[in-house]
Amino acid sequence: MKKYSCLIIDDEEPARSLIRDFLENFNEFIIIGEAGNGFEGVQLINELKPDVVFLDIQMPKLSGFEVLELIDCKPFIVFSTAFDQYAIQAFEKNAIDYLLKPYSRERFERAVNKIKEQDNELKDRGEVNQRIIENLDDSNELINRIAIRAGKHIQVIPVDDISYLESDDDYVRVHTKGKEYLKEKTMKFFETHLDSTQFVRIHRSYIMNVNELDRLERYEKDSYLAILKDQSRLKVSANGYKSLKDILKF
Amino acid sequence: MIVDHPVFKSTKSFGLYAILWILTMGIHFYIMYGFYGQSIAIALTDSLVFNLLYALFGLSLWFAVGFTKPTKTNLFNVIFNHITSLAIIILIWISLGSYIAKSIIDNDDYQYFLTDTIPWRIISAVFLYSIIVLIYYLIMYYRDLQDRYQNELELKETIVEGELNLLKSQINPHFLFNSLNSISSLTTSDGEKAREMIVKLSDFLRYTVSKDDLRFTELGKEIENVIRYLEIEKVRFGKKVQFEFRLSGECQEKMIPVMILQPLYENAVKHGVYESVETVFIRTECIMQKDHLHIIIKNNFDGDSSKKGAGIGLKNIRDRLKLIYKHDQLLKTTKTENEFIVELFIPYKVGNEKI
Repeated sequence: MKKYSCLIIDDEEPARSLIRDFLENFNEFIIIGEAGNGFEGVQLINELKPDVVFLDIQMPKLSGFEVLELIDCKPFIVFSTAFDQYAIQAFEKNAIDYLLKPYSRERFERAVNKIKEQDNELKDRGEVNQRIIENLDDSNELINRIAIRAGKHIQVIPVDDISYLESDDDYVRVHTKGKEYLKEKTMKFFETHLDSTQFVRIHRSYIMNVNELDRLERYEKDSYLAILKDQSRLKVSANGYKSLKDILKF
Repeated sequence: MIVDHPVFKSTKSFGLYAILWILTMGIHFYIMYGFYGQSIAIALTDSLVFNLLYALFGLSLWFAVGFTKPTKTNLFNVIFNHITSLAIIILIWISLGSYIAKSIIDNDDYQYFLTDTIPWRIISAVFLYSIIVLIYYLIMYYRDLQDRYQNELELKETIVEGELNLLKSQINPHFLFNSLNSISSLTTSDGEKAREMIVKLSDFLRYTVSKDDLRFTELGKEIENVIRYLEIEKVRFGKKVQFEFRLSGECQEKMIPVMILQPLYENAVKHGVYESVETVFIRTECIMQKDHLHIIIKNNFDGDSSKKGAGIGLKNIRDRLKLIYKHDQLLKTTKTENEFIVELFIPYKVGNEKI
């Protein structure tokens, strides 16, 4: 009989204990760890590389979705949420099973049985997980922090701390006061998911936090330079200048 | 309509009307006695008869004014109506006045005098008419304005009441379903605790959805419900939630608007407990001041968490307090690096006695 190693990640002890309780009926599912927040969750997943993760969505530090973005293995994920229409939409669209709290034993067992069935079909979980991330990116919900992996360490950057974003091939370079981080996302993503009254696409390669702008200087005939408070100098395109004009009303 | 009459509204207004006419009589008497050289008896009688008559007409003018509100009738009609009523008043006033005065003073000289002074009497009739009508209009507009203000206030109250009901019925679904999930878990591990939690949750929901018109409640009652809420959250999050209430018995008897505190604790849990991995302490203190209750709620939070959006709940509370107590400085928030402090100043007396 194939064995499945499982992780339970939920910030509420009773919720974790319920899953433990329901899993007792399945000898092939072995719980190898538990985490009470997203930070620990990411660390445990990357360390133990489980087959299955029971993942709650609303958690302190990192949400279940942010956890998904930061892990580098491809476990089968069973999401659970109490009330999050926006998450539920993402699941339904991708035909992903999820548990709506509170759930019955039957409902839980159906979800677990599905794992066994789909495992036989050798589905690539990485692809499914990737689809969820992409699907969430399609929504227009604004983000208020960016979670980035820097080696073993996870850095959570509140969007207010960003001074500007710079495109870098398939990545975006996130510049904060004195530091920079790489995030695997597109400029388009940040353009649509950051508050557009605060973050302006001033150039093909730059999105700037207007609160960090010190002054604008004429550069060539049609273009300007934005000088930030930290003395960074960013090119401003003609379109970018127009957008800035609209937002700063000069 | 007679009840509405400004002169009969109170003894004060009636007295004022009488005094103004006595003054007019005085002037009338002085002119007749001093300028026309009439005898005291004649001057007095003439002044008394004509002014008393006009004072009576003056009272009835209120109805003419009420009948021809410029807002309801067009301006031409208003002017036409007033000219007509003025003409009638002059006619009746002079003929009736002369008739009465002549029957009292049987004197030929006075007869001639009356005929001679008709133009002057007409002029003073027009003058008095204008003044009286003007004052009546002023009173009417003032009352209209007050009515409108009152209506606006009542409208606002209705809106607040609506908002309050909305607030009361708004149970955070996330909280509700997660609590039910905890109960589901407890049923196998600790049946007694599960039952306890069901009772707490039920009591909390009962308080929240209670639709009675009660707009104020004792601080103690509101706190009781808050504690129920926090105890439920404590079952979910364990030691991560800690709370402490320091309230004197006297404080607890003071009246506060119902459900004014609950959203503050929900905020503290949402931004403190939900977003932190460390223990969150929620401390409440209440101080009795001379004319108000000073309530302080403090909670620590994870300074790294970047969750925004405490705004709407706080704004709602500020708006409600402002509408109830007519004062907009009753809620104060202070945010330090890792502590959030909300201070409420609840006056003992409500701003508008009507509430």
